[in-house]
Amino acid sequence: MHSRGGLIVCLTLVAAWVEIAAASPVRDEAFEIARMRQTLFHEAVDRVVPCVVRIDTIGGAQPRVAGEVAPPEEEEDDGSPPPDLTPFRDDLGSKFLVADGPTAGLIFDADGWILTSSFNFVREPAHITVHLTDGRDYVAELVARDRVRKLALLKIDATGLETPEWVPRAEIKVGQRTIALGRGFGGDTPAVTVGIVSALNRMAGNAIQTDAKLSPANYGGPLIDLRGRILGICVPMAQRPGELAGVEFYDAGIGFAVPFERVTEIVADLKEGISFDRGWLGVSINTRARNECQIRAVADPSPVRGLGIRRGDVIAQANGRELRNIQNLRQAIYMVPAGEVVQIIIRRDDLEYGYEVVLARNTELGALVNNEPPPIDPDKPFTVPKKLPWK
Amino acid sequence: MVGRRLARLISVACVALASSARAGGFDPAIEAVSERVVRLFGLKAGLSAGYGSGVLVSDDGLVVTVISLLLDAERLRVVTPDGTTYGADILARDREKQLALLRLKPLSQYDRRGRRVQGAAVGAGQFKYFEPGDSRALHPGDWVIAGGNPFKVAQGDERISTSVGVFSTRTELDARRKTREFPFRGEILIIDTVTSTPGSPGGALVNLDGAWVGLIGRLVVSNRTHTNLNYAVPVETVDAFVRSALDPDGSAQAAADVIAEPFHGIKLFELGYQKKLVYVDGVKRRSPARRAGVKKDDLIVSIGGKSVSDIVSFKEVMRRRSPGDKVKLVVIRDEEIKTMTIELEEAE
Repeated sequence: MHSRGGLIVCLTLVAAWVEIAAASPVRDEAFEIARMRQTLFHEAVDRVVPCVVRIDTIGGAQPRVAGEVAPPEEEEDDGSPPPDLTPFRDDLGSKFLVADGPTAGLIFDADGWILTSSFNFVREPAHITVHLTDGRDYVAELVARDRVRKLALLKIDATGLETPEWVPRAEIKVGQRTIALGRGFGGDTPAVTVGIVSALNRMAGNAIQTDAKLSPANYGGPLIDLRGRILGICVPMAQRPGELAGVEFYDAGIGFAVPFERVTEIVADLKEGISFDRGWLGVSINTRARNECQIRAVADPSPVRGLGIRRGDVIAQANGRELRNIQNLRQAIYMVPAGEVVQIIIRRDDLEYGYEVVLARNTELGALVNNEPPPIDPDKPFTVPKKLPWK
Repeated sequence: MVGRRLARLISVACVALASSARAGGFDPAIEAVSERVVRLFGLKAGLSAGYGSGVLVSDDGLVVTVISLLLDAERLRVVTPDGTTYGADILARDREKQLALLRLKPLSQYDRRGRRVQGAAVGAGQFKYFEPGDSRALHPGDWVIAGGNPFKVAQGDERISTSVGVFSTRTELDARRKTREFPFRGEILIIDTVTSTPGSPGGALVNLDGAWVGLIGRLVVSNRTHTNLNYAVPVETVDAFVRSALDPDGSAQAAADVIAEPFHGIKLFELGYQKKLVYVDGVKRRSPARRAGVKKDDLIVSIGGKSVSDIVSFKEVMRRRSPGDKVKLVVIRDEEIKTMTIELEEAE
């Protein structure tokens, strides 16, 4: 027994030595860990694949390039202000071409509600179909979109669908592994990219950040953890408004996903057919003013018109953020959709006034005016002149 | 008993010793790819950066790479992993697959005094090379290691650059370069490590075991996502090209193998410009489509599970099908999804 033990020691030593001495590298435990991690990726993906759908859109054109204005038709002077006085045009935030291929979505609940990214419908397609992993196809209805959080909700006529498990935001940790799934390349299985959670509470608390490669190939698809639970829905985002803003970060290791808490806040409204659009204050900013966000003109009607705010006033703060130029203002409110409240502080003659303002859709804004604002009319829209306790 | 425990302890200690020097687990694969990828230097013009990568596929200096302008150089130079510079002859090019096969040769150079110096000889058994692995065994989420010379970072006998990512999916390539359509339309391996950089194309993609699974493809933009693609041509495609290049009779036969669309009997609504929705304009009598129940004005959205967004992609997908195939057809008719099975026939 003893001698046999000795023999084993000798053999093991020789084996270990041969392993080290061999020219080819050793498959050590680090290699085995890498292999095990690979298996974990497979298992996590397999768990969620039944809940990931392929979305095909048919028809629809590439959207107008950002900032590009349609050629003017026969122009007649009908007394309306020249175009530069109505600057509340929403652009897409990018010159990127929208995907032509299929996209991905996630089954949100068993009754046929599919969550995806609004990015996938910028083309305004004529038809949308949803292909389930089990092979079934459905015509889908685009119920509503959130153009701010870049989400969209589809409805298909199905019940008893398999639903995924979501990770509560409190459990998401910076540094943990992430896997993104998409259908943008076609193929029979979702495309897989892998990364980590880079940051929490990005984009005014609307998104978590990941370094997994996100692109039009997986916007609308889920970002999952190693247990196959959903961390969020992958969307393009950047710190500025625009439906395509953030697409230019594709595959750069800067990606965003909207987590469960935010999704649930929004979904109830989306199911009702309520869409979220970019919110506007309805002011034009004097870009020549140095180091301050000075109002050049106010739209009538607009959220701030009823407050008595006028040309020359300075927006000192928005949502607690000091403003020095128009970019600061955009960054302070780009994540607040129309219908939600922004706190602004207006400076006039070295006095500061605080207001809560409900942002408007650009279609609700009137033309810019420079004259003195009328006295407050409580029947006018947007008049919420709630004064904040401000010293 | 004591002996066995001691043996285990010692073997664990030995493994720990080994792993302390080589952490990460990717080292066998990195080693394999670093020893078998060569750096190419050639013509610098237009879109071509003038440098690239290639993979050694024989012990006597056969190198496979992607077609690019750099190959048109008067003096194409190939630097092997040990830092030796060779010349190369182009044995074959495949315009459709965008691949090229080179054979290394000694590169004679002139020294400072203008004397001709004979370059390193090329002989059998001289190079480490890749045998083709199995790309079909790749599973989405598998580690992949890409090796090449992006931005020609590696100099002299320095190692090439390697990066780790995962295999994303296998799909048909549908891409363009600038405004021109990219001719290669076969299956590719999408990966999530960035290889859409100058110098990377022609490099090798290996799995965690260090087995060769693909050749990093040329820089292209996807027609589906409009993003730069990070991808590799499957090793099976590369191997088929190498074999046919070394056996000219076989390649002639392959070229004669013309792909025709099988007969289905569907007439599409076509008006000049082809990027149109796939609306059925008519169905031929006694055709497979008629039997399957396809009707005029149906909007075809997928064939055999592959979505078709326009007439071009309809034809693409149909060309890949053979007579006798039973193919699932999904159409939209009056805002409703209809699924039917169509049995393709021999084209007349």
